[in-house]
Amino acid sequence: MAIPKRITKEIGRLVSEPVPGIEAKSHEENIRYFDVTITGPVQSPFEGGAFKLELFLPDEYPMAPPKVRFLTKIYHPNIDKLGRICLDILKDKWSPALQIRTVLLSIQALLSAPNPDDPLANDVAQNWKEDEQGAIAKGTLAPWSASREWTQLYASN
Amino acid sequence: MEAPGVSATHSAGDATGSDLLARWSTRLHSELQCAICHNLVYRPTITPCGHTFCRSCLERGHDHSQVCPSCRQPLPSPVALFTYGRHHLLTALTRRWLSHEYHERILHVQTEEVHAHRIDYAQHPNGALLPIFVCTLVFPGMPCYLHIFEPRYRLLLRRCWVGSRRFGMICGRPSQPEPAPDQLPYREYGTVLIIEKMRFLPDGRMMVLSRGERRFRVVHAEPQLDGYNMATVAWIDDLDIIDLQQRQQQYTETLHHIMRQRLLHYRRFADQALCERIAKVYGPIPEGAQALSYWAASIVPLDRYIRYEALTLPSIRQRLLLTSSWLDTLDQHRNWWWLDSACSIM
Repeated sequence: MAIPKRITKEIGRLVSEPVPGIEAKSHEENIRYFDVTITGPVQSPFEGGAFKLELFLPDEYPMAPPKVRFLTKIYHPNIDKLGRICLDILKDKWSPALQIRTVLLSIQALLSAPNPDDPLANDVAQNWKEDEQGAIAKGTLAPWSASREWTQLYASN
Repeated sequence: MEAPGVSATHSAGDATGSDLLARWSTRLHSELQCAICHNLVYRPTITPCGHTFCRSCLERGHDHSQVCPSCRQPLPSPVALFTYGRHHLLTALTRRWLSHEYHERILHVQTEEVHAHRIDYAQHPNGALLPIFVCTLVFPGMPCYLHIFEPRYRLLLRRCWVGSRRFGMICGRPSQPEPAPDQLPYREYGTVLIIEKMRFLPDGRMMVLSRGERRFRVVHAEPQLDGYNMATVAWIDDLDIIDLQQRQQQYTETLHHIMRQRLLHYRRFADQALCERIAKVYGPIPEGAQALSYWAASIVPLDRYIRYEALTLPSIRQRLLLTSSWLDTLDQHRNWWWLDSACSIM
């Protein structure tokens, strides 16, 4: 069947009114498939990085959520080794009133505010929590050194 | 009497007036967008929490999750929602002030959603584009009871219900061996079912009584529509109905007569409760060779993957011969098998 009008409209709006720090381009041969780049939010350990993701709109979209995955390696408690993201709106909290734009904004927000209490990568979450507590005890800004290191290693040009 | 604002617009000249009107309607259009399909809201329906969506969008949303797509507050049952949630004022408003967009939207719904769910044999004498329900084996004239709970099939059934009430039913493939990647995920032959009765349960599920109407063969599998299969199909009719050669007709009649006697024989000796159950579901042994051949193929207690072959045969004759061979095997395999009331189908 033809591509739903909603998808064409969303793509048009992503181009005409881009979101700062987010770039999403759909493939010419399959417009349901997107190459996404999210720049690491300022004042986060991901600052200065450019993270690549893939996004796919299944046939049942917008009734079913888009499938999103990080392609760039990232040290984050809610993102695992395979790039899978633990985010409620991509699972049971999906609503058809959400869209590509809001999904990508949520992922960007997840980079600013990781949630180590609902981890996907257990070791990272553990490390992250200890790091955070250590920083609070010392009265300094949390260093999250591993995340910074990985950002420089994998997400910088 | 005109409102002061309106008369001021008029006095500013026609060009400015129409310009303002155009800007106003563009603005109105974007305000009256459905958050689900991003089109002009069509058959607007308002939720108890005050959010408005197209009726069909909200129905689809409700199939997946019983909360408001905008604010996640719980939604009432579909019956309550779609009976009391109609937004007449907004319908009137869009029809009056966005009449061009409104009619474009109707046309879009007609071509995208309704068209493929309105099967008209006179308009499509050889075949048609058909929505496909992959589930079970049904022969023409025979009933099929369905409990619909999967979101995609709720959508399919709703669309068919407002269309011609017809859809294609195809038996799935057995899970072993796994179908090859280039193979259809379902069988090649299927049956058009017509919905006779439909009951909507309070939570949106449906109980459906449908009946086989005619057979078809899948010519080409089309891309899915909103999660369910679509296929271009060709109708198939029995050759001995079309071809009227006397001698072959006689042969079919003889086979028909033998099968009828055989079924009557089984019925005479089989368990009474079993016969009643069959009669209740499939009706009494029908008149006519074609109807009898489908009836017999339906009640034989064999796996549907075996009985599927009867759906693919091009004539009543061959179907009767195949069914007899099944009955022969059953007779040899176990004497008096048809006496056994525990048998699942017969």
